[in-house]
Amino acid sequence: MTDAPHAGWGVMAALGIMLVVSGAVGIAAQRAVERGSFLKGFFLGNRGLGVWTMALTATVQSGGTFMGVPSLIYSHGWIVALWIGSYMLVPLTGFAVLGKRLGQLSRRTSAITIPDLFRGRFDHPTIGLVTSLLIMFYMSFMMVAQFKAGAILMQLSIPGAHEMSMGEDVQASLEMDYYVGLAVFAVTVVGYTMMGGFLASVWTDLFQSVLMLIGVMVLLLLTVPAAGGLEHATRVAVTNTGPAFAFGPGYTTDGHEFLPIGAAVSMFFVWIYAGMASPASMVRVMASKDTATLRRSIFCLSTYNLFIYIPLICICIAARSIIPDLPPEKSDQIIPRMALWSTHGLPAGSLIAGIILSAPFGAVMATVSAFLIVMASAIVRDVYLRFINPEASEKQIRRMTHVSLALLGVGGVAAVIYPPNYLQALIVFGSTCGASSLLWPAVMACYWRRATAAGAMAAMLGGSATVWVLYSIGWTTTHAFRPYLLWGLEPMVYGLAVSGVLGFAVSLLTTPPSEEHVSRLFDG
Amino acid sequence: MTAPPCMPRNPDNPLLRSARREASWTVAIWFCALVYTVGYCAYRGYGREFDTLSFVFGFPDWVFWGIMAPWGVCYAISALFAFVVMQDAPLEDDAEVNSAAGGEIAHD
Repeated sequence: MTDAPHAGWGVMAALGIMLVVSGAVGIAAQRAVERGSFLKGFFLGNRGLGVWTMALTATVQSGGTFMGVPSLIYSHGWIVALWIGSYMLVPLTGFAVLGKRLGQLSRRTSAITIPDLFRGRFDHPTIGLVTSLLIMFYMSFMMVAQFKAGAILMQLSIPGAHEMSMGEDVQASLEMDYYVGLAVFAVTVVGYTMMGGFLASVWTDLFQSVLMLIGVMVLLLLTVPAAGGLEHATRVAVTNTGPAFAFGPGYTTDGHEFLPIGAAVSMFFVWIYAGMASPASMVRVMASKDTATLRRSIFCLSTYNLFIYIPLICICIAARSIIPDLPPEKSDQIIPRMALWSTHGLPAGSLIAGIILSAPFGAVMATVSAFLIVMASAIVRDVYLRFINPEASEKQIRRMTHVSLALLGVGGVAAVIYPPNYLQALIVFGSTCGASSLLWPAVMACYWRRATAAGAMAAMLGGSATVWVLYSIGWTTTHAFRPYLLWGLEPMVYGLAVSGVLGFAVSLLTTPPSEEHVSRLFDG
Repeated sequence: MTAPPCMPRNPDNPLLRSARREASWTVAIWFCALVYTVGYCAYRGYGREFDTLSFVFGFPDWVFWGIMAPWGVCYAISALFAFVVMQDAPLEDDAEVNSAAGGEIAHD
């Protein structure tokens, strides 16, 4: 196998600088939060997000963007471009379908969280509680996976990290590196989120998004020419792996098709609707300053995605010809490996590699921070203040918020001390259930006057149950955490269909909401 | 301005109307992109012999015409949408309808 250079001190220095800047941003955000009321400031940034913070942070980039997707491209070739092709429309759908109405409704109901918004819109306390519980449950799957990704990236950046050398005799040291990485990652993210809340999350996310763009551009300029261009890289990869690298459907190591046509259709649902109905994205849209911000964010994020995803495809195609023999179980290290390989021997190469590596690290940190905020807000706003201590003072709320964040951080660390398998599957499961549960209730809340609380609840639980059933059948038949693909389609397609039908049918069968209440939320 | 509770509000909410129209157009654009992209890639990108493959700007022909070209078109449409089609409207002030929120908590 092609040897990769080890991480040097420059890598550690670049990541260290990023951690310090993230902490400083947390402190700055804390000052901004203290200018207004704690709840709205800490969980919604006083509804003041501008174009850059909105566009570059209300996104679906995560550790998967820089680890999972590159691994798939490296393994399956050009067909992965179709797998992520629907990102061409994520910015438009993410802001134009629900954005304006969510912004308006959240103001009219004084909502700070998604459960808050549903409770206010449907005028029913139970729906808020159900939404909170669903969000916390599904987000915990995704957060655990991000904690593990963060720990691994931190581990790889430790100078002379043993992971790159693949030796069996370094297992103990490897485990120690992992735990050190996990501790540094958790303390940093929970720390800056605890200091500055939502604003710390979006400001560091913005800073990290810029780093991601720089990292991807540098890597593109270093790797594609080194591979002799895309066409040459493709021909070399086809020579090494076979013609399937250049065409669909691609094949997994156990001979299954990677992207049959049904799965390709499904991915146009998965990325679009998972992004649109993600609680973290919806909350950021609610925090938009005005509609002009939403409009401009579409263009800004479209441009950003263009310069992230297409270069990532090119980099990983080139990587397959440069490092042709990475074992499948290590393919998610292709970006860190390319960063180290392509900067080896350059002046300040280790530092440049660190800047490139900070892209996936930043993506993971930003995602975890956003999840922490949404989950803590669900605990504090939707459970503690609604059901446990409605008369809590600001001091008590602040303390409860910090305790919640600390407990979530400890929970995330505890969950990955023994890293679970099926991480990618858990992420897909969490986001599939989230979208299947929340999309139709959100659409009904925004656009349908006749929608009732019972209808929204039926949509939420029906969508969720459909996904559960399909995963259960998959588990039973394959003994692995895989969904059953009925007629080749992903569970989200069925989850959305069942959710929509139930939402409309149950709404029509139940007592209409009070016209006075609806009028306050729908009329001018 | 908040209408007094006893008076009917103006049913003509410009933000709701424009948001509904824009959402409909966006879903239609998404559907067209799905049909073209998956359709073209299924037709030209699956089950071919490598000898028949040509390259456009380094991309396999089916990737360029099936994914990169529609990505460019969607980028242009998104820009058009952002700067020409979408309309601005005030999102209104906070707490306008606190009483409508079903037991709103007075902490925000």
